[in-house]
Amino acid sequence: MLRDRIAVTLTLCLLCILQVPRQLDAADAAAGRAIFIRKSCVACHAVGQGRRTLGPDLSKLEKKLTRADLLEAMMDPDKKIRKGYESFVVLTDAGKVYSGRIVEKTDDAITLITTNEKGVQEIVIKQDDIDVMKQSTTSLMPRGLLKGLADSDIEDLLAYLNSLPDTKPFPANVLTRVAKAGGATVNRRVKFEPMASVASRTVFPQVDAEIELTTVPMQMRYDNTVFQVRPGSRVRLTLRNSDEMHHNLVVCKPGKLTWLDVAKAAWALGPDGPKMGFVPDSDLVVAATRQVPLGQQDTIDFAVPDVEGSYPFVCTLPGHAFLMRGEIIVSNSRHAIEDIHYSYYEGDWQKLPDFDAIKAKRSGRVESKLISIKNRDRDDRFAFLFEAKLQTAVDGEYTFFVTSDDGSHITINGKTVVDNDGVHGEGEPVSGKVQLTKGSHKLRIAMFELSGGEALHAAWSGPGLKVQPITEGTPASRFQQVQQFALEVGDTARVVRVNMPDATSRAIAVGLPGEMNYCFDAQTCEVKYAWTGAFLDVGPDRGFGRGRGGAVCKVLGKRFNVGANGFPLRFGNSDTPPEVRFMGYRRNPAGPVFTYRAGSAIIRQSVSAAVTATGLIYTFRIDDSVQQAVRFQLKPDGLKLSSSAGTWDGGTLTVPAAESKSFTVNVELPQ
Amino acid sequence: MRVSKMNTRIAVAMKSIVLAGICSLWAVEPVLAQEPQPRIIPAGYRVETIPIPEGVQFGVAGLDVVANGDVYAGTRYGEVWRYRSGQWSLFADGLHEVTGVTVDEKSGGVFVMQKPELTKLIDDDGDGQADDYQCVSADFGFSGNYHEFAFGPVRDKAGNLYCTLNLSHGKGPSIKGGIMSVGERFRGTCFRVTPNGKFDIFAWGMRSPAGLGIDPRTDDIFYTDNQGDYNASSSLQHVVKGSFHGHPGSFLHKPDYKGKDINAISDDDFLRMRQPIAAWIPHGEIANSPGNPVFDLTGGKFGPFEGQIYIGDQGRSNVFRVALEKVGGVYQGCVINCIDHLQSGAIRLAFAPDGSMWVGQTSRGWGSAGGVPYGVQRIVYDGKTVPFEIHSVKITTDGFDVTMTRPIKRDAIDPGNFQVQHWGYMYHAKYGSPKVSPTQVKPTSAVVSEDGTTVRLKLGKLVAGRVYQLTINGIMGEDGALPTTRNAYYTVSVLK
Repeated sequence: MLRDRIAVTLTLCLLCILQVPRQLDAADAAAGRAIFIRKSCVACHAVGQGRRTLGPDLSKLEKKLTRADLLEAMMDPDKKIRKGYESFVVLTDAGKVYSGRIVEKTDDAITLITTNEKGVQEIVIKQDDIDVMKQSTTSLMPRGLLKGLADSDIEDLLAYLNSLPDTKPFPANVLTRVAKAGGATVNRRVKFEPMASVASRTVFPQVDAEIELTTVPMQMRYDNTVFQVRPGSRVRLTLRNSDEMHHNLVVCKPGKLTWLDVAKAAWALGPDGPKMGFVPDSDLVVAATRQVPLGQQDTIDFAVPDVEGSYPFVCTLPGHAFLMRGEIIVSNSRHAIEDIHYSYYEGDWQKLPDFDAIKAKRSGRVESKLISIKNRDRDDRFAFLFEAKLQTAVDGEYTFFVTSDDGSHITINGKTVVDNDGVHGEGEPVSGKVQLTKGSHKLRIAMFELSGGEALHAAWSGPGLKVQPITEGTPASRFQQVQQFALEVGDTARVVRVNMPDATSRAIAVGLPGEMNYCFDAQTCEVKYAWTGAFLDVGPDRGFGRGRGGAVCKVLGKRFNVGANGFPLRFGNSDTPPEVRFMGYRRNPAGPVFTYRAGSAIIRQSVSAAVTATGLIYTFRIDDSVQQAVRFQLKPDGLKLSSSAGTWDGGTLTVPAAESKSFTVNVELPQ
Repeated sequence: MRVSKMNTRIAVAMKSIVLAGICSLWAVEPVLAQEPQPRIIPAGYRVETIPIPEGVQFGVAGLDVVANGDVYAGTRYGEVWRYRSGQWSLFADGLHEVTGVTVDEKSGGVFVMQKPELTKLIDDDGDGQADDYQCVSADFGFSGNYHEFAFGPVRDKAGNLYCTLNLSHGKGPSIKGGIMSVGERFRGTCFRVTPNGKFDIFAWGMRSPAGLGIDPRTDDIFYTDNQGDYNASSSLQHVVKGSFHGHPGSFLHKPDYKGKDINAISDDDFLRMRQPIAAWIPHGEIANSPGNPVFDLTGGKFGPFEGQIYIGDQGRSNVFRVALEKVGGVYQGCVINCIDHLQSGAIRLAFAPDGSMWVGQTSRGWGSAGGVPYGVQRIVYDGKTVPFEIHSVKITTDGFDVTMTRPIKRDAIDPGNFQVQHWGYMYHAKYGSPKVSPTQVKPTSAVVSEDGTTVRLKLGKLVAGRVYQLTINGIMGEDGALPTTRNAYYTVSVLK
């Protein structure tokens, strides 16, 4: 008896440490199902519903996979690729690249199941449109999907896989959502070791253009794919590799698919490939780096001919070329802002005036290449309007940045690109993106000043154009690191403390993987509300273009009520809310576990998304000196309420003492 | 028990996949030989710029260096980054503006001050990421106002933690027409948390206490306040239990002032209560927005100013020295400009075990000298050069002793080499104060000491409550070296 007690106590202690509330015996297949959804396995694998998708139906495998097989398949999917589930890369005549599984093949067309930013899709491609079709040596299943899962999570997942088939329906939106590739957000490298020099590889004492690019881990691409240089330039190119696989970069002569010809020639080197760095002896090759290992960089100098054209570059390691390529545009077209005119106004405004309705005090040409607000007669109550011709050298997406005191506004061809209006200090940079064709465009920059400090700093960037100041006295570094204020959630939960709407100053916003988010208030220790969809715009708290910050953040996505009505727990017979004291939280990839004291009890609470409807599941673990009956209460408001223990009366759940150590509460919206 | 049965193969396999993606450790990178140096920097010192992670808003407002050389930087966007072997990794995120980082060497826990809470971050599985975010104290009021910063913590030998709270701007009532306001409780104070978690208020009367420091030898706490209402200029002040530092605002929540009309108490009465200023930091001349004071206890590894205090400025991006002495039991002394200027607002300083000084920087959207929005730099002393500079100034009964770092070339010393100017400051609710009756004094004699390092200046009777600016001219070392800064500003709170 004592031995059992010790075993139970020890296990409970371990569970306390693990912060995982679950039954003591088997791993939890139900929890495994939630992970199967959260990690988007369900998007590519049917489990008995007869769906056709990228991967096999896991309930219909010829032989049941052993535990070792399952683990190997999840950790190293490339090792054994099932027949019929090979990955193909298809290049169409139009130059589009698809990667996926062939599910149907006729003389006229093939049907390919593929994934893109919209999720899992079936695409029909006419045989006549196919240029090249090649089978890939890698699996359609990405590597690294187990990253971020605790050992217990993996056990639960295996338990779920062992329990198949599963015919319970899944929410429609998870069936096509695809897991994002594991990011390299931790351990960012800032320095790459240069590869040891074999012979002098940087030959020019001076160069005209420098190109630098880095490989993106686990995504088979370069981080920058378009560069522009003048004809006849001496170019110094540096390739940095931050991916586990080796990569190189080979610059090819202009031509329709010269990159593919060079790549094919490289693959045809066969066993000689590695020692030649996968660079074939071809006159289509203009220049090539060595194969660069992880964490290193290689630099080469080469001269670009005096002829305009697009020089594709590509990684020629086998199979990489379809995704890993870009182009160097050799062109005299430049990016420039010219023909600048200014108009100077005086007046009292709280926002940008309608310039068509007021008369300028003075106007004229701006002789320099950069604009400035220094040509003013006073430091308060004035405005400027600048109009110029914006020249772009190449089609693409361009970004404009501005900080100003007070408000400002940038339009291109009459369309607003950046709106930084209002009375405010400079604050953090505001930016906006716009698609522009190669050629000439109308640029308009307006600013106004009410009183106090005055400033205007603007810059732009685009394909082949590094951040370029538009205003005088603006270092490019001011805009080089523009923060992403709309926070996104990948497959690890995000926890952010900021100013939240409808909560105290001690609110904590949590974004769970799978587009479920909620606001926990550490002052009152309750979940205040939740929302589905995208996470949070923290710009207002961080001073996004509006001065000093400290304003309330914006919930992105659709908010829903969870019936919050103050601290929800009551103990024993007491109706008065206990004194609550927040103690902290523990980070887990699936979501944080909050710890707080309420009266004499210590409570650990985690929150997860309800699986079959929109809602939340609260898991409570309550440790008290004497275990009491616990009541959980909220405003029912038409919500669908259920729990793992106790009885409901309207919006109040009463859990008897014997079951109050650990229980879950489901708060869901009616279907 | 599932865990023990847990497949260690999984753990090993997963870790090998992850480790394959982690590069091997590098040595600390070499100095860029041609890095531009500040205009003013003593001989033997050099500034290095530390590369920071790309695409990250790295506005540093908390910095600590640990015994093994790891650097922890807390940013204004709520992240804590760790620097080890030339590589930055993300230790924690999602905090509400980190304005102070202090590592508890014994437990490895990282204390961070964020706006709503003093938090302890614990990495219990050693993977370089914090797992537990423990609330150490949230017993102070915080309305969410952008100006309600919190600073610290510093730790004393007994393990007590001290933090300071900025007044509000626009939230709550103001006192006597001052700009800063007091909405929530205990704004404008220094609070203390004992190792048992007990919270109490240690000192009162602060305005914008952005720089908190402690002398680890004596547990003396110092802080810098910023020019503003009831603060004629920025200053360095000594904090003791119950001290009042000038701004009446915090008295709105002082228990023994409950029910009293703070506005009815005269400024003279408040001034009588105020802790003597250890060192005025003249606005526009030395600094405008000082950060945390750090003590040079490197045993000479950071040069010949052992025992002195260094403070960085967020506005002018410079680093200046403070040489203090104790007169009549009161700390006072002089401030001397040292390194001017760095690439960005030098708000946080921290000494490393190798004797170098790390500088955490942010321009904070307010605009700092240097033009770079944020970053990290490191100041290194070559270990041998003795620069020729003003070492310190001490008060005498009728003047000052000005000590240089090494012997002066004697030939041309006369009182004419020294210009002395002194002024007072007003104490009022208005923002800052101009110099009150600035007066020139001509020293009547200047006698060089036996060892040639100290000049004794005779000025006559000194006036308490004034700042004395001593400017040296034509003073050079025996080798002809000239000092890079020629001004020392001595605050006379107490006469000798």
